[in-house]
Amino acid sequence: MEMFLMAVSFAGISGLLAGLILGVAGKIFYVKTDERVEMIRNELPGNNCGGCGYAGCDDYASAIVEKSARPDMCTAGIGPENIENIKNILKGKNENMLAEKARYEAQTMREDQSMCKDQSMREDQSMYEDQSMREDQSMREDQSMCEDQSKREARTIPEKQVMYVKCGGNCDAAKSKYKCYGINSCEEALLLPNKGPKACKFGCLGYGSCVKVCENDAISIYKGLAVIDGDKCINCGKCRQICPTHVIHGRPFLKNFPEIVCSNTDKGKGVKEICSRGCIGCGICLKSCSTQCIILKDNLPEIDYGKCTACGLCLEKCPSKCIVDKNGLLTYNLRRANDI
Amino acid sequence: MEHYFSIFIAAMLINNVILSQFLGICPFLGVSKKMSTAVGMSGAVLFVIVMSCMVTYPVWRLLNRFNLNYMRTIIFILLIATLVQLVEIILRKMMPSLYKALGVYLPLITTNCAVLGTTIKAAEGGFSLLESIVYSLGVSCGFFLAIVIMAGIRERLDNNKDIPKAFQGMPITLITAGLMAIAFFGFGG
Repeated sequence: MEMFLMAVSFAGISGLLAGLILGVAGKIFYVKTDERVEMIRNELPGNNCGGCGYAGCDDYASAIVEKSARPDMCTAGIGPENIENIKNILKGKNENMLAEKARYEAQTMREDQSMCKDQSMREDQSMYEDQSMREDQSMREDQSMCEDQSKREARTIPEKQVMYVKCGGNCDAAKSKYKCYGINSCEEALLLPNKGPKACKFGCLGYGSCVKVCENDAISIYKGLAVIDGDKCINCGKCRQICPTHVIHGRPFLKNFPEIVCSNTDKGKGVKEICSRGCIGCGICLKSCSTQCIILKDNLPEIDYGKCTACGLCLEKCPSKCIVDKNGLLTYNLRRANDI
Repeated sequence: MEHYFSIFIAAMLINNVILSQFLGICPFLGVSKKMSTAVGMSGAVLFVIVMSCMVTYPVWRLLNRFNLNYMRTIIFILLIATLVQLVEIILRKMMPSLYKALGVYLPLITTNCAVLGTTIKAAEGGFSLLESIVYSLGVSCGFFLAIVIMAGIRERLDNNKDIPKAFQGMPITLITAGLMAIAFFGFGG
């Protein structure tokens, strides 16, 4: 009996003590958190890709609330309705905080403007007064200010994009100047003579720095060339940031838009010598285009995706097959699967 | 000195916490996909195991005095959970940067059997305070070693397309874990 009592009292007392210590510590070391952070966090995709420029979705959610970050910076898997929800969550607070945010916005706007002015090297005292007057006014009419703000945000909602590699020079097409072994990343390859073993200095090096940063396994290296799976890409932009040759670009999602898979700005003859898939700047795509949405710039075509209807004439006509579409990429992947 | 060294090596290699005692398999399989998370996790485990060994030592002495040895499991769970919570609360306030680095892993460790197992083994081994600290350091270094080797292998396995479809993912990971356990068995002589 004594043994039993002893055990129970020991467990009970230590449990009580633990609870007490935790309770007291919780009070002493209390960190104030905002429930809106949690609510906004639920609106975000939660794959912590860092495409918004913050350390992760939690970090971004707290930045929206505490540092008045724009709610439309998430590039991955967030729709207009999520952005609307976030704005509603932010508006759901009381009048006082609304005014505070409006003031903060006005302040940051003023800072932006003053920064612009510094750049243009114009100092105008009256402008400052003007702005402070405007700020006072905006504090009074914070409601209308917020409407303006929401309009401004509505305009800047980014279109969903998908990344693609602007190079088609795999080891069959692009010539190499030499062979090298033991290179693990594109950054290392860039230090080699001639900026890597490939004869073309503009193209994909194929050492997979982008593969390592991709959180969604959307990129793979096939025959010495990075290939991005458009269905898996969430447009976080990490590959674009890390690519040392800046060969990864974004294009609007949804349509089977053609992609130009060459970045070489040299003249036709020089390109033809080093890569069978390179753009020779012939301009046949310009002439064949049904909507005149292609222009030639630095010996490379550029597609205006606003006008393009994805008719596919340009990729049929291209003599070096350096224009592909998503289907083309898919057949590319299919071929790859059969190869293995 | 030699004594402490042998405790350390025995805990780290011969009685490796994951590969020969089969404790802490959950983080071993769950958090070993990437090298960076594996290192973060084992850092947090090192921190918590050493701290909890220091805390449970006097409590174990107390339990011994009252002949309550059989209560060790429940009391130690209580202590470790409280400790981890307390550390989390304090870190959050005092060292936000460390909290951010360990924050994800700390709640995972709260009820980790590797921590509980280490404290109980240290208690039952009749170690002194210094000995149990060295023992816990050895255990957490063993954890670090196993999980980091596993993460390195898995990063390579993910890129290997020759693995048959039935073995991709978890099955090949478990086979790897088994082979690693056999390799570590060799340390026992």
